[in-house]
Amino acid sequence: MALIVQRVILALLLCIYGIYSVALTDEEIERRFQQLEQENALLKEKLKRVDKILKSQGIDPENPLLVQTVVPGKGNGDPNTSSRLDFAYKKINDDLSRVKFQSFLSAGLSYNDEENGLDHRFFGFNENADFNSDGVLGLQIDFRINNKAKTVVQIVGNAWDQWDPNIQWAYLAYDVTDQFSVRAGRMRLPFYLYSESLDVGYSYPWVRPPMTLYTPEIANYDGFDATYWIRSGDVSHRISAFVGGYAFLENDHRQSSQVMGDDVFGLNWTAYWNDWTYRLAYAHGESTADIAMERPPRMIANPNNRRPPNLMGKRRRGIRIQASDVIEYYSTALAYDDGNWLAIFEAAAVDVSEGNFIADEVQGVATLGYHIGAITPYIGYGREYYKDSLDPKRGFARTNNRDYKLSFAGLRYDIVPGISAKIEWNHIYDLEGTTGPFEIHDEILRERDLDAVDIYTFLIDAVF
Amino acid sequence: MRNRLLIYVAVVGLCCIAHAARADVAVIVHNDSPLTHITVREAVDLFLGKTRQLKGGTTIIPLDQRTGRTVRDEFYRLAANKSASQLKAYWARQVFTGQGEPPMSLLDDLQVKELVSENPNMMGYIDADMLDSSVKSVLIIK
Repeated sequence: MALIVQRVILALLLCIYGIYSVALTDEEIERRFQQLEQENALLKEKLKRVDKILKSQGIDPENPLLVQTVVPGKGNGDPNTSSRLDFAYKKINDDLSRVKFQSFLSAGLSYNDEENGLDHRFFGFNENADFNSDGVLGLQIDFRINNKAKTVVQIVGNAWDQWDPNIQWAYLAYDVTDQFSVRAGRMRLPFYLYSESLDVGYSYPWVRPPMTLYTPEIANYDGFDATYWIRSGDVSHRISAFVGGYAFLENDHRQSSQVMGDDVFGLNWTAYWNDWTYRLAYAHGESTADIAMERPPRMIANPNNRRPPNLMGKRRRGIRIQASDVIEYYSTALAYDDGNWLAIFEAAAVDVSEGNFIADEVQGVATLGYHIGAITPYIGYGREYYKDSLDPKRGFARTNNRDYKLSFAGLRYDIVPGISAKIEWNHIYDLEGTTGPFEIHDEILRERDLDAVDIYTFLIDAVF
Repeated sequence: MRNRLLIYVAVVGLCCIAHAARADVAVIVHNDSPLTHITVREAVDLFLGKTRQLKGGTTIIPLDQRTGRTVRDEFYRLAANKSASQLKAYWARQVFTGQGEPPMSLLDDLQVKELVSENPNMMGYIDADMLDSSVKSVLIIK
């Protein structure tokens, strides 16, 4: 453009010079020529400046008509409709396509006065103040491939697990239709209502989901799931099926187990109606544990000792045991939340058909809460009954039977959207001679009957 | 004369206060949308991602507003009795279990109105005072 303008101006100059040169004196011509030259220089200068301005706005000065991205009203806060719309669409594109990072965190402390603390199957509560019992940090990365597919990875570290980062979720999700989607990869086992969101303290009222139900020794599987959404009248249904398997190494302080799960599958149905949520779920798994014990269990010293089940053979300094169980989970849950009242009831039965390690189990918990502004006080009651198949008569000195009641009361305070503080008191009682939800490794403590246990927890939860 | 003026000012002032305290929220769709009226529950289920379709199989894309906006807090308080914190907790559970994602959120009523007026399958909510002929209101929540 600049070149064209320059040439046009030069041509004009020549014409003007030609016309005037006939009639004017040399002096006059000289004067006018100089004047025109000056004007020409000024115009060149002006064009240079225009080019500069155009370039600064990302417009090619050679070809300005092809680009129409001038932003009107820039800086005065009154953009016109088209640019506002552009912005809105850009915002939507950002929401849809960008890589998204989202995190959650729980930090706090728990307190109990049991000698040597309490070793829970999932958490652990050291004696007195324990800052590691409930610490969680999670990071989720969503990468949207297109408007139908995305990949999601969630890495979670737990304080009670030395903050080892574990991949809890890593899947590819694909929306086949608006109502049907499939996922492949690593996912959380959807045993119970809150099983999939166990790590995200901010999403539930308690400091941790009640321990009568939520004590997952196996939490993930690798496989597929398919979810179907359907609406009939005012009820929305979510029907989901999954299939897969798991394999992991579990290291305890005195044994290491290679746990394998085959034929893991399940089906669950959740219905949403007004403020109600109802869930019915079934899961099936065949679990094999190859356990290597550093130190023989006390059955060796037991005078009534008979051969323990499936003793695979002695190692140099220990024994190996292989156990396999076919486990079936049945669970049902009913939840109500109208914004003021909050009620959650859930019960499960674990049925072991061909087991030699794990036995049948019944568990349940009920919670009642009330939202008063930012404060949600809640109370609850739970029960777990589990009979171990490690029969003392068969050589095991002590079983891991669990029979206890749980009462709890707590308070959640929502500081700002995204951050909450909670206090909770857990009272575990009527242990019926069992160790309740705890594993007691200390040999002396094993002989001691636990009476009632109190755990106090203070926790800050956040999502960001 | 002066008294009357004072009374007038007082009445207008009170009306403004009363109005600000309970701003109605209008749920809006495209003028060409077949929808004429939806229930509060249908709106809640759509905006909470519990359903993507309404009766008759119409697929709807809900448009949310930026967190912290009054109209957003009002909409979820009036329609679902949920505070901003309760809503955040609800979405945390959905997002971190892969069950759903919150709706796309826009800056303000104007953006929602403009986008809805351009897209027949979108639904938004705006301050009822911002209603005009560019969009169709299918529900007024008071």
